[in-house]
Amino acid sequence: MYLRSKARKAKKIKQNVVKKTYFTRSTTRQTTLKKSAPRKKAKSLVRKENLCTLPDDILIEIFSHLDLKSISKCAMSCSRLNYISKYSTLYKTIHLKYDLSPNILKSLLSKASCLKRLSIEYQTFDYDDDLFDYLIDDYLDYDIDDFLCDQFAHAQDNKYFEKYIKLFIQQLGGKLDFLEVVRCRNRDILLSISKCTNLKELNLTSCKSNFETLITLGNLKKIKFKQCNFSQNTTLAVAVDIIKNNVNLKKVHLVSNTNVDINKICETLSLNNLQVTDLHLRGYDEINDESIRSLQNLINLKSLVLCYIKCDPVDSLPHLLAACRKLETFEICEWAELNDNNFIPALDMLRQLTKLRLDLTDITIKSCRRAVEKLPRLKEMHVHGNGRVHRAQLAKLQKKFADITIPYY
Amino acid sequence: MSKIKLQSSDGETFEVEIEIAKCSVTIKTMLEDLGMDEDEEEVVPLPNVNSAILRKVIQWATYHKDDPPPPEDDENKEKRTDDISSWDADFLKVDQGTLFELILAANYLDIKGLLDVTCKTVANMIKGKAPEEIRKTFNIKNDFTASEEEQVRKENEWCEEK
Repeated sequence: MYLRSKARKAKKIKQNVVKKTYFTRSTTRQTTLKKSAPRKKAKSLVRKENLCTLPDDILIEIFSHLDLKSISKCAMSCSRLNYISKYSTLYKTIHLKYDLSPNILKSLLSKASCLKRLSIEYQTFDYDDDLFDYLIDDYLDYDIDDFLCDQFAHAQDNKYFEKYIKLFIQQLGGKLDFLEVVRCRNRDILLSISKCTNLKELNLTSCKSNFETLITLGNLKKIKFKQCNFSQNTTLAVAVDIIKNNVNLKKVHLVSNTNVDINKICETLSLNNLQVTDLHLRGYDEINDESIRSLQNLINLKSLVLCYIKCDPVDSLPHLLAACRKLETFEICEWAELNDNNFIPALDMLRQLTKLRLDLTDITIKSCRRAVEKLPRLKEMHVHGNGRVHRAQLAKLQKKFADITIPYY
Repeated sequence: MSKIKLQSSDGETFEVEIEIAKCSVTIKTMLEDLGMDEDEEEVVPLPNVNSAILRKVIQWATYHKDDPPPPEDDENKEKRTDDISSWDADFLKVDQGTLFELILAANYLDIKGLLDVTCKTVANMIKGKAPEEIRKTFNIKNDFTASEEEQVRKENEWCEEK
């Protein structure tokens, strides 16, 4: 105790000494300056700084606000900025696009040792698998018209692109927090995602594979599968197993995927993933009323979106809303049987709601008015394509409740 | 409201409300470490900041004194540079030398908000420019040899967007 207070005292004395030297230094400088240039303003005494004289950490801070293309432009301007452009901390997020040159892919790979977030985007060209095989085998023997040649050229480019994707995943996959893959049909690449063992967020759009290795991922917090085909030759349960193996999932977005058993998914979620705060189901014809009702177990939901799901679970709605008291976003779409009679009573349960969407339902302006009156935190309300709500009525409502955004089309 | 005095490198002192001065983490820790009592008439020397810049920094801190504390760095959040408030944009309509001095001062004084907005301003001056335009804007000399330039071009030339 004594020693400590002594040490503190010593520290204080030392700091005071430092302080004093500051004083003397600044005063001497002041006097010399005054002697040499007595009338000049302080501003002109400033040492001229320019971009290249800034220290490394500040240039890195500036570069961190730039996209990778702009960083490249800087790198080409002079050796100092070129040197800064190689700092790996600038490459935490990389977007690999099919049209990048092999040189760029190579140079990105060499700088990416701090990579955390990777996006991979294939071209929009949507070739048919069979046609593609046919072209590979026989393109020399047949006269292929320009259009197909063009497509084939794209596919050829992919080979280089895919070579680097494989390298990225192989070398850096284990470091990734976030991975997004768009329009990939390469099974090997999609299966190699299982190497990204620390992945917290996985977004797959328009990908096709059986995805069977993905069930080994266990740290996922957010998944978003959109227009993916969990293709044949496998049980339908891959998507279910991914959800089952990631009990800490917070965000689950499933949009129009093929070969996904959505009812099984709802059942799994409701038994297994009670942490989910954000659930987004869109475009599932086969979902049933019972599945929607089971979602009432997800009492932590803050955002619930149920769109284009064919079944009209109006019966389950009160149960669902009564359980999910934390909802901030609630969007439903195409529930023809939702009307003022069954919706208005539900409003009492949505006290936390900030965003409401009720497209293609049978409600009238009465529900809309009640919603803006009753929901204390509402910021946004969308009512689109409802035959019984007129534009003019919404415009009037918007005028009266200026704090709430109410688009009228 | 208690005040403290800040002294610039060229010896000018500025009297500032202590709460405003404390938006600089450097000053805040200095006050805590030195155990300066708030009623003591002490002068905090800032040997790395001249009076012209210190005046600007105090002006900025005074305007932003009621801002909520800046959010923790979130890597997942997309970095934006188009969210500079109009007051800040006006405030930063200064010559490049002053802008860089402000960056250095913000860095030394550890004022995250000011460092952020000044760095963003420089980033915006870079964005969308070709290498030659960048050199022109910042008065940079192309110091590559011909072979270096070819090498750098190879490593950095993105396919031009259609």
